[in-house]
Amino acid sequence: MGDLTRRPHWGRLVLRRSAHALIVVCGVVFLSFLAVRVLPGDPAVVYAGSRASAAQLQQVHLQLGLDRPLIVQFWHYLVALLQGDLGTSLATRRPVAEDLTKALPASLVLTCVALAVGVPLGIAAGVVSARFHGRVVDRAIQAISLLAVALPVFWLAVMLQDLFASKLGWLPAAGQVSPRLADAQHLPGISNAALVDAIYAGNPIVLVDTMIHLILPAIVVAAYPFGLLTQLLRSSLIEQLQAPYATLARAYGVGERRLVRSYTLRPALTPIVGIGGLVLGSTLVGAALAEEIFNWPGVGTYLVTAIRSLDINAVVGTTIVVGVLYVVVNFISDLSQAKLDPRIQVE
Amino acid sequence: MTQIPDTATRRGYPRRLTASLRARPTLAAAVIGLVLLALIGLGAPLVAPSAADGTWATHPDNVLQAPGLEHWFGTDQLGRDVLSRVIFGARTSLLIVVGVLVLAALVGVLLGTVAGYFGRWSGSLILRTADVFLAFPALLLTVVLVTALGVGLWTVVIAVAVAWWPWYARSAAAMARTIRTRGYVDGARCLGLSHWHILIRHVLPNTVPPVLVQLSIDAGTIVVTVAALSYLGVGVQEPTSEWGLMIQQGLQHLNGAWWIGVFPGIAVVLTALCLFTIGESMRQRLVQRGGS
Amino acid sequence: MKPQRGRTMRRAAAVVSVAVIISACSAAQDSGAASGDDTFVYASNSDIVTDLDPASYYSNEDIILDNVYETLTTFNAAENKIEPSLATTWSSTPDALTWTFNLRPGVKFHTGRPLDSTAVKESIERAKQVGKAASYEWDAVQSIDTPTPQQVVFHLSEPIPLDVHAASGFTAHIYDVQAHDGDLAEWFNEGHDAGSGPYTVSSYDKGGDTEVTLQRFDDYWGGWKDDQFSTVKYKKVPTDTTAYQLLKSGEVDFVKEVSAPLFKEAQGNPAQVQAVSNSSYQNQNVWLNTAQGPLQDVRVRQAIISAIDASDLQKVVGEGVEPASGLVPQGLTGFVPGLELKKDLDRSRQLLNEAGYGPGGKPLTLTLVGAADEPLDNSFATLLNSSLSPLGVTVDSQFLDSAAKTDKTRTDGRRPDITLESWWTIYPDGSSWYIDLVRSSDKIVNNFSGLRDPQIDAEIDRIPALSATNPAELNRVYTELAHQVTFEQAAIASTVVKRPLRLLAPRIQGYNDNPQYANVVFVHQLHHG
Repeated sequence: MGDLTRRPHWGRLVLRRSAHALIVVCGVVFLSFLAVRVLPGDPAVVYAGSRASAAQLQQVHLQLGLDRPLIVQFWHYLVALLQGDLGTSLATRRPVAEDLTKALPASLVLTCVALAVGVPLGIAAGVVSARFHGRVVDRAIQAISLLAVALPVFWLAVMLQDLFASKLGWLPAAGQVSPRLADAQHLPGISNAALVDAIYAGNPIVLVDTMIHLILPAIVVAAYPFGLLTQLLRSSLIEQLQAPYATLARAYGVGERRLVRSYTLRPALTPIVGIGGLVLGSTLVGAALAEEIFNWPGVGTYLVTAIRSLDINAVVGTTIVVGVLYVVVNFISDLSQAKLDPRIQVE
Repeated sequence: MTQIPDTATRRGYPRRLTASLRARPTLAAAVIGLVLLALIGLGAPLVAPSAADGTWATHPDNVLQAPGLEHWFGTDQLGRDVLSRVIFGARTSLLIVVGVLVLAALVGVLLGTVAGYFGRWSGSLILRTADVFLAFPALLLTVVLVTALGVGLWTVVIAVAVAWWPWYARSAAAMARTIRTRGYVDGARCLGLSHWHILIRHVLPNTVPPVLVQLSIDAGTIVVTVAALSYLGVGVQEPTSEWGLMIQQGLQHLNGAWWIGVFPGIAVVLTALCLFTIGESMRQRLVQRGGS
Repeated sequence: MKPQRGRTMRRAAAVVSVAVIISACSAAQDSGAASGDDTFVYASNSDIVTDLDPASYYSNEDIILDNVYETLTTFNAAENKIEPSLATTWSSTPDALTWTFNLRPGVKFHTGRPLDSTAVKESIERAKQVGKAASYEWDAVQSIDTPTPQQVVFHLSEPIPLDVHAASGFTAHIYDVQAHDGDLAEWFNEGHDAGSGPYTVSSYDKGGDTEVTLQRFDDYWGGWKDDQFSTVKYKKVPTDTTAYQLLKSGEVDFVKEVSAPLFKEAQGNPAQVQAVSNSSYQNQNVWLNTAQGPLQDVRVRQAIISAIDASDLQKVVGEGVEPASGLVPQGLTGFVPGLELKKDLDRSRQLLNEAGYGPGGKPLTLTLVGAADEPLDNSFATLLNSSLSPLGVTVDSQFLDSAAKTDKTRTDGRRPDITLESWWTIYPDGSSWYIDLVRSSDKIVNNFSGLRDPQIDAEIDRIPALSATNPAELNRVYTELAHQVTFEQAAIASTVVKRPLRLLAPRIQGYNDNPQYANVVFVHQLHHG
């Protein structure tokens, strides 16, 4: 079960995890660059246009430094990366870092709102399901959460958009805000995220409009984490509720509700916190696919467009940023889990 | 606490299995669904109304027919029978999922077991490499790989397997590490048994069950991931029948010829549901047996 | 804890109801644009801007810049005629080596400088010097004279129809080269312009939702009426279903392209949308590899051509295409009617048998390469494979992005047996289909068939001069070439011509889809009802 007397020494744990994270980041950078430079095709074509002549292509080829050996290209890339330069997008001809910074706020808004909806709902559903294990409520929640995980996000997005926007007309089909409203209210284009702009400008009308535009995309993106969390928490909590200490507590007369809340919830949540990074990752992927359908100008749309037009620098740049983000989030969730559960063994 | 291996009670297993299935109707339904799916997939040329439509044929004079007596699921934009293509799509999904899981599990379990058992440098190297692969969202990694390797059925299998092996490696490594610290391994070494002997006879049989459970849970995710790849245009290509590809083509016909995208979508969801249900109950079984 | 919960619930309910009311009001405000709203919103499904420099842009920027910049001449597609724009009249010597253009008086650039012959000379010379995009269309220009401020004289090294080249949508604009002292290209890409057109760039939001906004130029020589648009916005909307929703709710006035099923749906909704489509000058072309592999045998090539059916492709793809006749699209000089591709599988079988293939003969596998982002290529390949499979021929297809495709099709090594690519012309005549796609060259650029027939080459070389001097003979040459390259040599064929399916808001009037300026809306020609 674990040696309870050997507590993790915090400093050493953090240091070890940090070193580990750093190695992984290096691997991420190397692998991204390699995977993408191995792609067939001359990236100069994307840059120069499909009607470029052979001479124009050659010129762009030299301009982009594509004739140098792979090692040299990687070295230059690394040096630039350390200075915060993620290369120039071949399709948009703007710095990738600039494109990503511009696209980030919109994605953050969508992901945060989706998680703010999906996570609490998932936890609540998981708790209810475990508490009333075996009853109709449990079965219903299980079915819903299973469905939420099994539905491909792009299918769900199009179906919901078709139903609520096209057929019923209850909700807007796409975009962050009604363009005419934003124009009429002179919304400042500070960030690329309309919600943030509306808050910054202190404009309640536009703010409400942006929230309405968020409803469909947020539901679509929240579905997967909701379903996943419900299932995980449910099984984790059931396990805890059947543990010897729980039986003991019941024998002592602890009420079921108090048992769930004060005794079993925290140990049940601990392993879930541990995989928090993975849940976030799946949410990001779902958001990327949903963004395109809802015309949401975030990182997802940027990445999908870059992949489809084979914009090497944009793909590598985004992959590295996402990869590093992943590592950071996993780092945090790892440490959080260790903090919550002192029994975690130090390897 | 040592586990009583399965082999001791193998004779009673089928009887207990059917009994436990009968007690849980949803699981039974999922198992039946999966078996049906596998049979349909394997027997696609015999089961489908038109094997040609499922593979290479087109009928330009018969495009976009609504579901009816002649074509139960209607025809698609190339005039092909949608039912036949959904059936052949089952075969494609089956092929891909089995291919991915075999490849990923093989590589993952082998590497992970070695890493967990021997530990130190080789273990560290393997696991750090696994972590690097895990640092990418699965879909992103597979998309990049497929575009690098060129689209097509086998590259999809390889790319998805590359994205999944780290899971099995880590799971196997954790289990192998735990077993390594058990008394009987040291005892076996003292008796002069080689590392390889120990690995194959004692370690591997114990790393496999959690991986099996993981496989069944992952199968559902893999089906959805492959559909997403085809939806993005970097998965399986025409004229091969694949559900994700059919969904992508069918999405533009949603208000007209809805049957093109809806039936494959239902197929994906049902398959994923069956797989997740089975996987979840296998996981519960394993937890009840004291493993983790 | 509990009593407060009730209060919070009520507060929440109040906020929600206020929200619903406000959104209902704002929705009413912007659904159905009020007449008198003089902003035109153009929705495109792809990135529009990478380069705002008129001398070097080579992508979709013409959608925007053709409203900001003008050319010497323009093309009237309906009548296949070159018409005046910045030049009112022009003439050439009989040998077509000297061209004189007379400029329109009273034209001002947005910078304030008036249009004169020096500006024309500077623009063309800058295009040649920058050397990007379609600058090659000025290659024959040796020198430019400016005898008077209203007259420009071009001296050519060889005879070409210069008035046709001057009507091009790329690298042919006339602007004020002296607009800025420093790096002109950089200045343009910051969002400035130096054109003479009815609109001027008022804002440029790189990569933003609304990328470019244009404002009306009050001193435009064409003048202004009340019901014209004074602001133009260009939005990027990646999915056509979304664009359709936005059009119905009045947020957008023009959707550049929608899929055939959506178009059909829109056609059934005339109260909320105008569904328009017109032939374009863009067609899908098929090259057969005459230099390598099994297609070196002309009989096999002819068999493949006989297996292609353009109307089948139209049935599958829907309204967005129509069968092509010959390489040159209808409406351009060089069009030859009556050459639509119809499948004749008996003939294919016969030819294959003669060559030793077909049912009973050797099995044959051909490689095909098309474009990944072109569903038309995908449909064509599937159809071709299904026609040829019963004849013992399999078509193995790959659909690649432009970079990988260029690699595979321009390599000196083994190229694919069948190559698909769409083509359109830079300046309004049919010559580029032959000059660029058929004429042999040492390195494969766009002539993917690798055809090397000196007779065909010689005829193609006569086209530019004939265009300027002898239309009757030109027509005969084009007709002869069309039969040769598609049916006798079976090296290249056009399958279908694209018909972009577009949606307009009901209040838009005066729209004319000019296929030479693909996807461009000349907003000055529009008026709102």
